[in-house]
Amino acid sequence: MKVTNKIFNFFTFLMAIVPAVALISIFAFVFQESLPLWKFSGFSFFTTYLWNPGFQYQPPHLVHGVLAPQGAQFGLDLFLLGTLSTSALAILIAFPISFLITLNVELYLPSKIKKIMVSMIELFAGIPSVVYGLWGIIVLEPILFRSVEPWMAQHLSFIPGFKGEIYSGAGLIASGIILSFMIIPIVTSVIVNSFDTVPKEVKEGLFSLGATKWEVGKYLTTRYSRASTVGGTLLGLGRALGETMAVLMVSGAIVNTLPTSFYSATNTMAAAITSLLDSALTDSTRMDLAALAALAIVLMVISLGVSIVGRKIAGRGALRGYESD
Amino acid sequence: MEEKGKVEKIIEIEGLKIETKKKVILDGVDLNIFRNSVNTIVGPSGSGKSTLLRSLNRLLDMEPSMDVSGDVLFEKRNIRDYDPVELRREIGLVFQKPNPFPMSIYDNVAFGLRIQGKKLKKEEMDKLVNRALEDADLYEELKGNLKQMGTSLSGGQQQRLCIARALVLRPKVLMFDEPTSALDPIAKGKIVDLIRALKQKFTVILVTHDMSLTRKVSDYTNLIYEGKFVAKGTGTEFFESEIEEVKDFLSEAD
Repeated sequence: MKVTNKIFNFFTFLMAIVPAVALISIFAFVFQESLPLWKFSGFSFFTTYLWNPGFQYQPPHLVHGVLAPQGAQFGLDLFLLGTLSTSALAILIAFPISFLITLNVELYLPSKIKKIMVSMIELFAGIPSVVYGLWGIIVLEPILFRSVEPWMAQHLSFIPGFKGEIYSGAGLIASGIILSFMIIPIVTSVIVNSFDTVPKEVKEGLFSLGATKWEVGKYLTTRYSRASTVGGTLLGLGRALGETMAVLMVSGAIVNTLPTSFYSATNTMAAAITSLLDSALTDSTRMDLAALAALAIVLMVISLGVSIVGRKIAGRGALRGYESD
Repeated sequence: MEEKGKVEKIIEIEGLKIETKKKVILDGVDLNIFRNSVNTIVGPSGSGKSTLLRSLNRLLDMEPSMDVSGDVLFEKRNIRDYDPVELRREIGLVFQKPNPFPMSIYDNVAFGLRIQGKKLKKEEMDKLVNRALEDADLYEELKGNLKQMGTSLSGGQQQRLCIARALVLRPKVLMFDEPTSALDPIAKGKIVDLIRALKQKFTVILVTHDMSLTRKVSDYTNLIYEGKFVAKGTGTEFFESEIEEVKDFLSEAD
């Protein structure tokens, strides 16, 4: 018995450390792959938006002790800007919608319909991102191109960024909308769950002071369960930052051109890694690959950071400050 | 008990029936609540006392599974004709478990005023908050510390804070749902004194199964048993009642 116990303990320990080991080793491998880029570009990786794989048919040259194709130049600014702006737009759209869904589900709808609604929302989270992307191309982009963006350009042009030429419907707005669809289920389910954990006495206490449903919902989500609301939103943001396929399909996947308005095509770090990988693999110096690995490191750091902060805040839970002593 | 004939009814309950699909909670009850008195509803657990309170300020509206029929008149007007938000400001409710919000003492008391959307000047707000704290016998203990978290107070103080929070809206009726059952004897004593004092300005409805509390504060005592009122009486009458259920309940409760 003792031996089997020991074996069992050993294997459970092994399984328990797999995620941590995997995370660290992935990070280490990707970082190692990116090392030549840091030597080649240094800090300029963060200060330019130009991304040029260089001339593959000319002999490579030595820069700062590493081999790189001639004319190669790598900067993440365009992709970083695209990642942050599409995610920010996604949160701007997703948060109010999630908030209203939560209010409806928790305070207005009968409990039977609530159950159906909640499982529908969870179902949404399971739709593959490529399906969202396809829907974006077939349905969303034409609507944006023909109706929405021309209207915005005409009526909102007094706001900076809303004046400009409309290209195809692909870009920041399409990406933000698609991403918001993908994160609404996450944000909503975290807020709904935290709402469910609010003690009945607190909800009844609010109502018995003459608060309306709207006031109760607003107070509970923005004050009482603020930690969960912020945490859920950050979890959604983490998802949006790393989302690849759907954004690749609707962003316009532009390189070397900074957006001039909200209608411009854009690109994100995740989408760029996917779309530029094919040609990077043909670079004999592996510098292209190193550059994509560096992009991956930055993306990983940002989304891990957001996820950790999100989890920490969400984990503090709804009962914060409710202890009686 | 005193001047029974002259006391004015503030709430009249007529044939109130509350049921779910599975069970009848209140089976057509009639009851009068008298102004500036302590009206006590006693009864064993599960007899429908708390449900009755929640129907009076229409908190039960939040629970669609409860089917409510019959009439409740508040100041001669059916509560169904009131806006529930307005009604709840007139008929305050203090719960069994103290439930201060996680914010300062001051903000807890001011909460009800703030959500009313009234733009009060700081001095006016201070005055109303302080008066509510005084009415809840909390001002002397806490003055100067109003920025402290409401949740950091002792259980008894939290309960009086919840009373202050309800009183700031100057309700006509204040309902207490087992207000002392979560408190130690000293904290309980303070609530007893407070309830006695409150009836000078407000009408009190007290739900409890604590007979010592009832003896100390109650003007009108009503025993509810399996969804029906089986005995009603002024403070002393009730305890001397010959009704079987009252005797049973008193012997079990004491």
